[in-house]
Amino acid sequence: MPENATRKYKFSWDMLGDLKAGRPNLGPMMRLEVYRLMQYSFRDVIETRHGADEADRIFYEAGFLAGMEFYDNLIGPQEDINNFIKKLQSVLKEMGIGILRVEEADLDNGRITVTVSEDLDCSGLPDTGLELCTFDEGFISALLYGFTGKSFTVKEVDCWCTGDRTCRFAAHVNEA
Amino acid sequence: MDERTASILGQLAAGRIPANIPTDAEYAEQLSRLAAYLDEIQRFTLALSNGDLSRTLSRDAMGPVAGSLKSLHAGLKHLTWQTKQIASGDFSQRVDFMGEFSAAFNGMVANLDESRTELEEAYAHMSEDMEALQRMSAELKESEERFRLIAESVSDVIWTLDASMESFTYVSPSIASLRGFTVEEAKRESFAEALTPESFSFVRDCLTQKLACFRESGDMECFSERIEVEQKCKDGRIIPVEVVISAITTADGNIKEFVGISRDITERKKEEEKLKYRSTHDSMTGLYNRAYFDAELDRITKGRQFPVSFIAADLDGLKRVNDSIGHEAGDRLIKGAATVFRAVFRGSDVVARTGGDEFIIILNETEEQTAINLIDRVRTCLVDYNEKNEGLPVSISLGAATAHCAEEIQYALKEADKLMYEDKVSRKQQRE
Ligand SMILES: [Zn+2]
Repeated sequence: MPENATRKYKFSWDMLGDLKAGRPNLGPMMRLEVYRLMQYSFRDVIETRHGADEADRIFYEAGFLAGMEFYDNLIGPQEDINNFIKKLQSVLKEMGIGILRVEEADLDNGRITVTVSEDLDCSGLPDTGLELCTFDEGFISALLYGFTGKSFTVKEVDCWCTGDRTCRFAAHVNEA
Repeated sequence: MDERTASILGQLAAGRIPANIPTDAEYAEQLSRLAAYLDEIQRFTLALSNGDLSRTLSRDAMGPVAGSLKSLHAGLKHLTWQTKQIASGDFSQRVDFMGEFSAAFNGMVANLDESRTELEEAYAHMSEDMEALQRMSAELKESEERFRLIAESVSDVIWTLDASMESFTYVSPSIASLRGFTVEEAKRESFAEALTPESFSFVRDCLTQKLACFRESGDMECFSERIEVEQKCKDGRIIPVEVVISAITTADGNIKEFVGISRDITERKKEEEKLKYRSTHDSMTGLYNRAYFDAELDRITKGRQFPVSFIAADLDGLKRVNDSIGHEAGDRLIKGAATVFRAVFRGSDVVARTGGDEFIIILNETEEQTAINLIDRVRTCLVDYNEKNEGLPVSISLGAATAHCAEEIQYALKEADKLMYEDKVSRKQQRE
């Protein structure tokens, strides 16, 4: 961001608005197509202006920001890894984000592998042969940071868009 | 189409990976990629079917076939993780992606959870029981300690004896002051050794009786009676001991142990002896008194050991001496007479002072002639006594009579008295 530029919309949880008051009839739900319509139109413009790699970085960062807010507002501090995962599983399912499953959770060695089925971002998308869910990568990295206080690099190793039925994310702690 | 290409395609279509794809064959590059893809899928599937979840598909293997296998792989890995969670006690894990297996697995986890809950409940109960038991044992210890303190601080000896009446299971330390033994020495003694032989058979009979009473009535009152026994001390003395014996019973009413309290009653016995002596003896002379004489007469009357001779004796001039010289002189005469009687009569003869100046001697199983001889001996002794002792001479009138049966006793007494009186008169006449 250029120096001296003034911020217009610094994110805060409040910006999600008062849905009860704002949507008395329609409620908090909408069709998933709309979410994807917005995400991929954004992605298109950003990619056109800044290139695919930069677009990935921007989405990862945005995902991280979203994940931090999500952790603070919807997950909160958890006693241990099992409670953290349980809470996360239930919130992700409840909000229709995806079905989280754990393949490996070895915090001692800073290694976690999870899968997200029916992922909000990519499930059902055409097979492009490219892992798409960089937003999710940042998102998961932030959740792990929220719980452990450590920085994790998260990489999507399998994605619907590479022909897989589920998205698989491998996370490694960044050595300080 | 190249024949070689057609043959290779045929092998691939049959699921076989061709061993060699000539580089100059038509579509050689595509065929190689297809072969590599099939090879990768085959290796991965083989690993998966062997249960090896560590192998992953290469990044090149894409598309729905590889995707479905990856899904299966991911599902199995998650299932493994879930099973580990369950093993570490998280019974909330449920499988929701494996169809029929999910239901079976979840059922098993639910059962495990239930079993664990039951186990935990059982354990909680057991812990409660355990706590109660520990509390009881602590209380028991406390009461035992209290008992020990009491047992060890009283001067009476408290002991427990096994049900067979053979050996002591506990003896309190005051045994040292009672009999001079240490607790260890006392515990080594058998019950029989702790008592004199007479006392042992007495106590054994006593306990047998009490036990019979208890077995019949179930009443502890059977044991309440005190008994007196004799015990040998370490230094050989024999002391009188009062014992109260009770019993400890088991829940089913059998005797577990006897509990006894022993007390040294030497002093009490001495006092009793003194009292008994006082009540049967004349304090001035130490001879038997009137009360003892009466009791003895009663005994003879009821008995069958005849003949019995009586000697009536009367001190001459006692009243005159008392009045003219004084009681001290009179008392000396009385004591003198007693000394003479003691010298003449046997221990089995009853010499009683029955009045101020009157004595009666009962001679058991003695004929009249012997009695008369004894009167002569008294007279001889009197002369002897008066020669050796200064002051007023002791003079005694005597008369003897014999009863051959109970009916003659009163007559014999009167006769002896009459003869004594005649003796007194005749000797008075002699002096004048
Ligand atoms: Zn994805």
